[in-house]
Amino acid sequence: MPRHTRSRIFWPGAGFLLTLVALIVCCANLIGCASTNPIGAAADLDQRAYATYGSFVIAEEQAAQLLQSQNPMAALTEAGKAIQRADAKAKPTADALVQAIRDYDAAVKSLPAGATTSDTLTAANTHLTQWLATAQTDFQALIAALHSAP
Amino acid sequence: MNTVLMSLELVADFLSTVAAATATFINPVVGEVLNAGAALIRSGDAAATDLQTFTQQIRAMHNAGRDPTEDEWNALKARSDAAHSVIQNTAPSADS
Repeated sequence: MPRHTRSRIFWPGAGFLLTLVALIVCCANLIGCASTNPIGAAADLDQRAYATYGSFVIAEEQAAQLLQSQNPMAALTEAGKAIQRADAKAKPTADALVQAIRDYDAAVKSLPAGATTSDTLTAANTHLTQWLATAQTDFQALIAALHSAP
Repeated sequence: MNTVLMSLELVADFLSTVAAATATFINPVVGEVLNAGAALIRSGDAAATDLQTFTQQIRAMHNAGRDPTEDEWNALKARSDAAHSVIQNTAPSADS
């Protein structure tokens, strides 16, 4: 096939495929985000912290069910140990996140009348944001351990 | 049930593929969340149902313009404490 003919077929074809992939990605963002994305549904910091924490709790409950379904007389599998380790690391982070959001809410409530910010609120906001970032990392590790379990 | 699980597996695979592309080209946070959703879906249809229910709860909060209440936080924490206790107290490992 002459080179110019190949080029006339290849580039439009590649363009079509790229457009298709872009459409799929856009649709998936809408579809995937719609029903199983509590963090994506959150509007503000409080809701986002709650959504993050709740997602962790759901993963923790799945992990608990998985371990309970294993033979209690048998030694824990490597996958089970990985889940235990991931949960042991994530749980203190989750508890710290709950405390951070409580401190943040308290700082908001203690704002003087007419004020929109304060040093306390700024510090609580920073603290909460940091714990949210740590939480997402630790929670992802638990979900990865769950995913690896047979 | 097998058909439902197979369908969920397909959705999980699709989400994982899209998550990678999304993280690279659109938004890393959204990509991570899609990936987390795919991983949770793979862990069972019960998790998928829980996640859907929870997402609806968050969306309702968003639409009502309110933040989670203390009772809602306490309910989640109680569930976490219970699940954590089960995980950590499951059959001892061979080297414990």
